[in-house]
Amino acid sequence: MERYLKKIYPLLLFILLPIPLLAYVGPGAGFAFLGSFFFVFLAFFVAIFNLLTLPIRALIRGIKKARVRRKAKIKRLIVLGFDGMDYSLTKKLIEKGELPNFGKLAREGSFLPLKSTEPPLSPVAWSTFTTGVNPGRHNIFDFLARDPKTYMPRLSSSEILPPKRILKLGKLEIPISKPKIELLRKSKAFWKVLGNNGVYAQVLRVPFTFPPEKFYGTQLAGLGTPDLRGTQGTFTYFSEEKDDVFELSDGLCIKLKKNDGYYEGRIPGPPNPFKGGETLYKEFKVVPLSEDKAKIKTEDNEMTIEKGKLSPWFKMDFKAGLVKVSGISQWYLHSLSPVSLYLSPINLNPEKPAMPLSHPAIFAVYLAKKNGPFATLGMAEDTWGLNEGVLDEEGYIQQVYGANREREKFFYDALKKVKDGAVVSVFEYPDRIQHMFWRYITPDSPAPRDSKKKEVKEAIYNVYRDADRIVKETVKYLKKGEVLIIVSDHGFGKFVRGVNINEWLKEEGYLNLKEGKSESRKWFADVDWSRTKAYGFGLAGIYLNLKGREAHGIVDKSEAEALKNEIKQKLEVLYDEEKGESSIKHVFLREEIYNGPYTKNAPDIIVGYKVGYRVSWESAVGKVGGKVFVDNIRRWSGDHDFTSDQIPGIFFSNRKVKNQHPTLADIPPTVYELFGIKTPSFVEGKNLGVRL
Amino acid sequence: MAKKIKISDEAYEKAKEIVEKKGYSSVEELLEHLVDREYTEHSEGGSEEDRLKGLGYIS
Repeated sequence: MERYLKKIYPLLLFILLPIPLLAYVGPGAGFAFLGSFFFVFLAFFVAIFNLLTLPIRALIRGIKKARVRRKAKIKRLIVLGFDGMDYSLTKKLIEKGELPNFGKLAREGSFLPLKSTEPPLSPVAWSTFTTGVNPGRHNIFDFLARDPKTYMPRLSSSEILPPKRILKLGKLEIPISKPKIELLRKSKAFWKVLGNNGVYAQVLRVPFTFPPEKFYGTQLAGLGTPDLRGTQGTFTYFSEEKDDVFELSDGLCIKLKKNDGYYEGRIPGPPNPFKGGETLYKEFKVVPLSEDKAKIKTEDNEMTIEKGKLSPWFKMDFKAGLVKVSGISQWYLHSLSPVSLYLSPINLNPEKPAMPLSHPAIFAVYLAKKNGPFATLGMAEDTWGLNEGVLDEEGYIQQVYGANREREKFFYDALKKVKDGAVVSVFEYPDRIQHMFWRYITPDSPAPRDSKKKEVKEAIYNVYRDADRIVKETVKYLKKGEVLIIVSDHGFGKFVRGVNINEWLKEEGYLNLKEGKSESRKWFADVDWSRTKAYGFGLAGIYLNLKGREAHGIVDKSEAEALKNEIKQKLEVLYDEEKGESSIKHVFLREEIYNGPYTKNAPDIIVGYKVGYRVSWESAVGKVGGKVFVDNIRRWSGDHDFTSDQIPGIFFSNRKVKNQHPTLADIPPTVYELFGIKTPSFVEGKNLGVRL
Repeated sequence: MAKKIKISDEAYEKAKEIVEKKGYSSVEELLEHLVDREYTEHSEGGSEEDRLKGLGYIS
């Protein structure tokens, strides 16, 4: 009986659990809470309608499936992604015998360098993997996009807008319409095309799938999913020694108040939409139990935490009147004398998600009920916590692997359950580890590398070994006739020198500052647009300050081409005198590498750095000043913002493939071919010709 | 929830031609892009600086 109940438990959850209310939508946005009763009724009628039409829908799906089965060459496809896994390093480790399972695939199937996009950045590259088209057709050119009316940044992949209608009652502001959450990636995901043709897919944590789209299958959103504060991840550091409150890069430092036998603090949560977005807080206490243990207490939860160990997920609800917004977070105790502890960014609680985390919405709830709470934040690995030293290297490694273990469970669960169709899952941990620990394998890195611990010094090799273990587990699920494809979105390289492109543009006379200024604060605050012809934006782009496009554009369309070429020629010979090296491999004009309806949204010029160089931290946020070349002294010491030819990703399969020069855009047409689906005409990639 | 709209057969045929020529994935995508472009022209500019916090690549 118990066994039987265990089997039907997930199904019961799917049927019985209510659809969570989309309550919270980001900073200053608001709660769409008032619709709860309406949504209950709506959900009821939708459920009845779905029940009544179930036989008809099943019949249509059955006919579609039968048609697909006749044409399909395989029953099941597994696509496994490892973000940032580098071809050269993988090859080297295979040759040393350190990756036996990748090595076996290479011998018996395929192992090839995989060409990424320009620039080879995750949002750009995974969007090409998803759709099979170049960035000019999917609209993602960088992590950031700029608003030409304000020269200010926004996330390139999604947009969250507050409810348009708000009822004001005295000091209270009550949202009476729904917020808008929009995916800005265009074109069509291959799993959507599969679904339209009756092929089911389960898609787990593919980057830049927030908000999740509807299709015939299930999906858990990946990189790009915000935290409870609506950011990409804001940590909090509590200390009894620091000043009251001050900001660190992407985090807050807050002083704890000492009492008799315990300490008190307040956790800053999401904004209160009923009160003009002022921050909601959660009171908590730290009660020291011994030299290395303490109890954390809130009004509705408590947990014992241990020094040097990342805690399990700690649930916390933030109350705004009658509405509760639910989050989960992890503690990391540094010390009890003096008291200092880290709190990870507050993830949306997948059991009660305040924003859509999955398709269908209940899927995230199901995963949480079955496996326990899990990291939902897009970038759950707190790179800034480590950069700022509020999370140590061991704590960071625990965080990275903790999130990955959760995702592994979902993946194996999918491999057990999806017998027919596609399973697509991306593990991001190679990227997170390489960004932060490349300094340990780069002799010329100016970043700190003082750890003597093997787990830290070998972190990069360990993550490749761990990926090899996942491959070993995955292969166990492969049945005869099934196909496994493994890809990464780009490779990796050292980041030792930053290039302040905006300072260079200033020194060359293309960018000018306001009278009396020699430097500019963030986002071009001190730039004189009436005397600026070009500005660097994001990680690889330069935009002309074009008349009729930018709010204060001064470059006439007739002079744009000549100006772009002039900047390109100068940049291609930009030389780092101090190091005696050239810094840029190639400069692309957007029309040379992109085509499609969204090409006009791309930067006019795309800078392809040489490995070792990247846009400086300052230039990436629109600061101007200092030297053009600066040492990168941050722990974030590995990167991939170079030209794609220098850092190919990986392509593995358990089968041989005909085309020996794969690109990310080739994955969707290869998938279509395997399922006997005609490749849609908008797709640019080519079928790789998997030999069955 | 997606809404359905009606356009003439002639306009639809033209739209299909544009879809093929420009590389859109569907007529729906083309129409949404055209609406977005018009909408953007009339909307006020903005910033989402707060939402970028925690994105490891910038600080």
